[in-house]
Amino acid sequence: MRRCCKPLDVLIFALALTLTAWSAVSVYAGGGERSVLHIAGGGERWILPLDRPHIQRVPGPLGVTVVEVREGAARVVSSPCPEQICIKSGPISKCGQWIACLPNQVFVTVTSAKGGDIDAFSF
Amino acid sequence: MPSASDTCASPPSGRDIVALLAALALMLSSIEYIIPKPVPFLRLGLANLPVLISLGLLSPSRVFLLVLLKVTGQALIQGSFLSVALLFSAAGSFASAAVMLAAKKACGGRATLVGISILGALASNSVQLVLARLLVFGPYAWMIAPLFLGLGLASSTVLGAVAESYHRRSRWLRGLEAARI
Repeated sequence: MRRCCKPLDVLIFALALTLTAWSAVSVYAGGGERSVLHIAGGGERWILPLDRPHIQRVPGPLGVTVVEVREGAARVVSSPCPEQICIKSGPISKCGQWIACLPNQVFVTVTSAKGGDIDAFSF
Repeated sequence: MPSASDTCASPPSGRDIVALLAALALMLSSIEYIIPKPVPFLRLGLANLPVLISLGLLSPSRVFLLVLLKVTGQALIQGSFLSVALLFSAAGSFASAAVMLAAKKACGGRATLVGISILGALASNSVQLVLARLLVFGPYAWMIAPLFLGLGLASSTVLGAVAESYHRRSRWLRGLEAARI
């Protein structure tokens, strides 16, 4: 029986693993003491504290997505999208967590307040 | 007078194989559709199995035809025809096929379908992340990267291993490759 994979396969696997690990470090590292909530949708952005209750209406191409901040966590409570994956995603509270709604083009994420410059996450 | 075994032995045309593999992709897409998705546009990529098998079997243009049929069939099954999701799926699938064809040619026998499959997933996921960055989520798109790349690496490794072991064991496939379609 021949070997299941060749050295080049292992090299490719290692390359992909390195890339994944690098992306994870750049997204999840630098968790500060305080986290803030970022919401993007309809060409607008909101940066909100997680420790104050709030209801944010976010307009998108399909309609309004409603994001609720309560007890230090954020969740999508209503969305006009067909599959409702964003609602099923549940609440997020930790740095690096996110909720995405592709049909209504809404993105909700928690980042460290210290590394507040969102450009740190861009390519 | 031709016997029954003679008619069976006539090799199927490239078009027949595209149709067969596209049907397989459609069936696998249906199976995948039943599995619940935790996040949008995140897939296991079961329907890529026929594409992996087609690499050593079909000409590049027929591989792209298979990808076109796969993407269209998937969109019809998932009800995402003419939506943003279709654009993501099509861009990812075609980029993946192009990279896998190039890698197969460049690596020759030095890599198995495992490595080829990982490269294909990497291409698909990179293109989709760039599209998400440009069209939908802006700079936030990068937040999706770890989960997207991590799951892509895991599923493409497993799918590549399945395709490779099938490739080694299937006498049917070996016969077709020998016939050089």
